[in-house]
Amino acid sequence: MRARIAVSALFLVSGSLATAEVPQPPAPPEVKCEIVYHFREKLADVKAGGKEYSAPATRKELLPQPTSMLQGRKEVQVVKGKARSLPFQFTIRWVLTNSKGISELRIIAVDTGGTPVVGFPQSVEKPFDDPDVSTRTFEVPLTHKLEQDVANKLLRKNQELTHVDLEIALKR
Amino acid sequence: MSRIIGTIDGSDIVEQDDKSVTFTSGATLDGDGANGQFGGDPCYAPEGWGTTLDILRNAGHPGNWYGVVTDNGKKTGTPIIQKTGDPCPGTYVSATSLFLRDAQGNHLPDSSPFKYVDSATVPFIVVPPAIINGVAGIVMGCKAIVTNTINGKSVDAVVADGGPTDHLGEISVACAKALGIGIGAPHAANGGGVDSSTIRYQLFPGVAAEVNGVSYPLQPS
Repeated sequence: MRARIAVSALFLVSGSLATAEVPQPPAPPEVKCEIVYHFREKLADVKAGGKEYSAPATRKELLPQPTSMLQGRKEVQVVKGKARSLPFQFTIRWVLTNSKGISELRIIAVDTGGTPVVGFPQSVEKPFDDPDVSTRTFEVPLTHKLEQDVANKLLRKNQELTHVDLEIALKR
Repeated sequence: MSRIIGTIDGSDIVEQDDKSVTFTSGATLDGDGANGQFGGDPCYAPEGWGTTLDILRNAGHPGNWYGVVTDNGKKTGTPIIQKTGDPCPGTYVSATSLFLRDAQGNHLPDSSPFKYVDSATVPFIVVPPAIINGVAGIVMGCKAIVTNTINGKSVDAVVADGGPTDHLGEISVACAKALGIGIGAPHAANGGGVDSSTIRYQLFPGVAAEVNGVSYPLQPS
């Protein structure tokens, strides 16, 4: 009889444990990687002495979604992609902290021959620790010829390409 | 009867019965007009100067300065550099489409950093020609209300700059901060903003803006 009571009590305890809520690990941050083409437009019908060029504006090209992997005990997310309008391949890698923040961001950019693009690779520690900051940008240097090709492909005749960035955006 | 003035990036621009203009879109950031007038960061400075709101490439380069004020008023000129006694010596002068006047109502010279609306400290919005030319009332300098529909934050603003024909939804850095919208790094205005159509804009052509106690002039186009 005593043994039967003890077994029943054990079932009750284990049953209550099974239904208790197990804390879920935090979801990884939503990160988006884009190539951003910045331009200004020469405005029509501006009065003499007026501001002739528009405020800056952008066109954007989304790179693929990140894939997750474990490196040792660290969770790492990686984006690999090529911009449609640029002859470059980008590899963007960031390390997640235990609380799913981002501890390190590393960018590799190479041309079609595998040679690093000038100014790359680049790394930033704690890229989004400032709560006001939602994007980090890395300028992608273009030759004059490439600038012209991009402008011809993406912009109107009265728009001037100012520069091109790789932008890493964190959804807050 | 409300009417659609135009559609840009899939967003309708609507003139309402009360003649206000509304649209909902994302928001990119405009650092133009920031010259350190009220202690904030300037928009542009020569390389190596220090923290600026925007990357210098967005202002142009020698022979093609489309983003800063030059000595001859043309993009082929030499950029004006702020002098001792100006708010931010050593930096370039960045312009907005809206021009301000001095305390007596006189026009300011193009080289004056105070002629332009400071993106770092004044909530303002940028509008395309479709709006400026599409309504009867004066748009540049008019009152605007911008609302972030995600967090409910709203801010009074002024229409202070002109954007390109095919882009809708652009705000000053001060406006972004007031609405809880992220900024860019290392340059606040070269990034940040919101891609999703979650920012609501309402502007009142013909009604001069008053923002944080400052009255703005209506400027015919």
